Amino acid sequence: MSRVRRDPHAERARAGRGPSGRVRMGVVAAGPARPRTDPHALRAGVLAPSGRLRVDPHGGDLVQHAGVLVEQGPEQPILVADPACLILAVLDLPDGRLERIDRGLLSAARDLADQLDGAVVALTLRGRHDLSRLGADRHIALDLPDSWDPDAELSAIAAALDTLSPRHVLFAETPLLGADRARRLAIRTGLGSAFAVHRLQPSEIRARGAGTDLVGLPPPIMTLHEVLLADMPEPSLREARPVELTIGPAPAAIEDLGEMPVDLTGAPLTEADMIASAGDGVTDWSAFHELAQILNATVGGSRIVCDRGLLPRDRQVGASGTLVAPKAYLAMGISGAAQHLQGIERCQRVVAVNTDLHAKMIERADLAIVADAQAVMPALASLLRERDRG
Amino acid sequence: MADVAVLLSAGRHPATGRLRPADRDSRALALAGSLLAAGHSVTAVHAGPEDEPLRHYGGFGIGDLVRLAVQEEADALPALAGWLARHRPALVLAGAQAERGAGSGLLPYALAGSLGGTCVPEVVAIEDLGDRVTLIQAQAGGRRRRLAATLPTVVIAAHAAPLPAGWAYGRAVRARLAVEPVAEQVPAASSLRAEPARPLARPVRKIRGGAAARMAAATSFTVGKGRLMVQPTPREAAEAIADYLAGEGLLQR
Repeated sequence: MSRVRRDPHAERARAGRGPSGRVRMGVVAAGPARPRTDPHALRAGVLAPSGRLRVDPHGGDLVQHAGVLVEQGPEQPILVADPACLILAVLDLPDGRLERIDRGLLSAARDLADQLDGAVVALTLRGRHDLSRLGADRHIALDLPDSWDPDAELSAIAAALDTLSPRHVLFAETPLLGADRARRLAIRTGLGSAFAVHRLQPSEIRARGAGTDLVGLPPPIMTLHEVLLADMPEPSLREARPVELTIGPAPAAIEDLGEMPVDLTGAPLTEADMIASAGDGVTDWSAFHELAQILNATVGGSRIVCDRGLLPRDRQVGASGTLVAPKAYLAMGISGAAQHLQGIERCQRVVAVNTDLHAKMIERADLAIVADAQAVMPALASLLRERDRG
Repeated sequence: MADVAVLLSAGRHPATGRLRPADRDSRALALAGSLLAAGHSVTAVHAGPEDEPLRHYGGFGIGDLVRLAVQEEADALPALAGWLARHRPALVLAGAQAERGAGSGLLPYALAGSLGGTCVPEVVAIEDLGDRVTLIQAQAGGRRRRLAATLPTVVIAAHAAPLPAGWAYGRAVRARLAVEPVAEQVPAASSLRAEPARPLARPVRKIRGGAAARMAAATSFTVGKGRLMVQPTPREAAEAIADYLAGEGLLQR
């Protein structure tokens, strides 16, 4: 052992002596830095806020500060009783579904309202949605018919504007939905507007023009660029108090004659709503194409099937193919290479059928089925056909 | 046979910034071409200081060409609204937004308001033009919808609408334009000032709830609820998939 062991007692004794070795008056030996605690005294019971006696080795600190020991009642919603202003968020709700872009819009509205000490009013034009954990303080829930009637939607939004007079109305810049509604509203009301806003602050906004940015104070009507719509609202409970609205009649200038049957199996992957994708685990190609036909889903594939020429190259999903963002992605016999998972990063719902329980795709999927795709595909096709008939 | 006006603006190539036929306006011109073939009369209108942008479109040989002599910085809306009020076309075709200037995409809606008509965006085809107009509209995800609208209507061409074919240089050079003077010209009023475009911020998902939440978000992989079925019968698996898709509202039938 090369190092001499320290003797703290000798060090303390030496510190109180002078160089001659005599004890010096007025030189105090350094004591221990931390006073000793009596562990037995602290282990005594401490009264918790709930009234129960808890053993707390930290002398009551743990009971006071640790939320787990404090018994909580039912969660109370956050109330904004007297808001300085209102922010109206008109949700897109494509086909009545609450999508990621709607959550992003509510989150952006929440951020703006928090900076202005305001409250968020969410306007849903159709469908029943619970927005209490999506940052909404007030909720106008309407149930308009499913057909596309921009005039009826516009009169509903204008009625909300008249009733509540919000400081800002926010839309998402999505064609046919938010973008269309916001422009109609801007023309009807004559209020100031900015479209495709990509930086949003109460003091300044930046809206995307044609090769320019339009900068200034936030106008009453704004549509938000998708870069602002990637966030999710905080899941804390809010009031989402229902607000009643009376809507005036609207002129019926446009008649919706219904959706046209369109074969989407060969549609571009980037704009597909539902993709049925095949990997190396698919050998029964006729069953796969039949399933895609019945679902009317766009056909995609992994790199390996495109390399083998089983699907054309423009059908490839993944880092070296197309980065897709459908509402649902059906992965048949795809194990989930990292490059493929990159390609489906923005998919909202993933259904995977694969024989390998430990495949990455099974881990990624919202509905994962460990089975042979050759058996599942015809079963699903015949089930959908039965349901169509019945 | 009805009168149709198609509004054409000066385009801007996104990479080089050079003058080009605007993409969406070209698609509106293609829709006008289909109406011209059906026997309707088509007039192409451009509001701007120079002939050159309109000459580009003239190469497609569709309809008469009219230029409203509006100065560069003046607002095109009053000039176009005045021309439309004088000629009262049954159908007005336009692109979604300009490729120069503010590019707000508000002009077709404003013109529909001044005409007292309606505006239909995202149109890929015009099927019939009679007492009313029957249109096909592109929806998200490649779906299509058929609509009927009363006249006058302002139609905005969709990105999915076809591009016109048959451009000829000689036709573009020889194209004869009618230039109409515009009496009063006012600059576009806006509370926002134009600045050079800044790059878009990266879309961020803010993670709230402190370091523990950030750590969980960085390390956890699965986003969904992740229901797992191991070796079900094909029928069970099929029912699970069909119920899941139906529950999310994705089986439309």
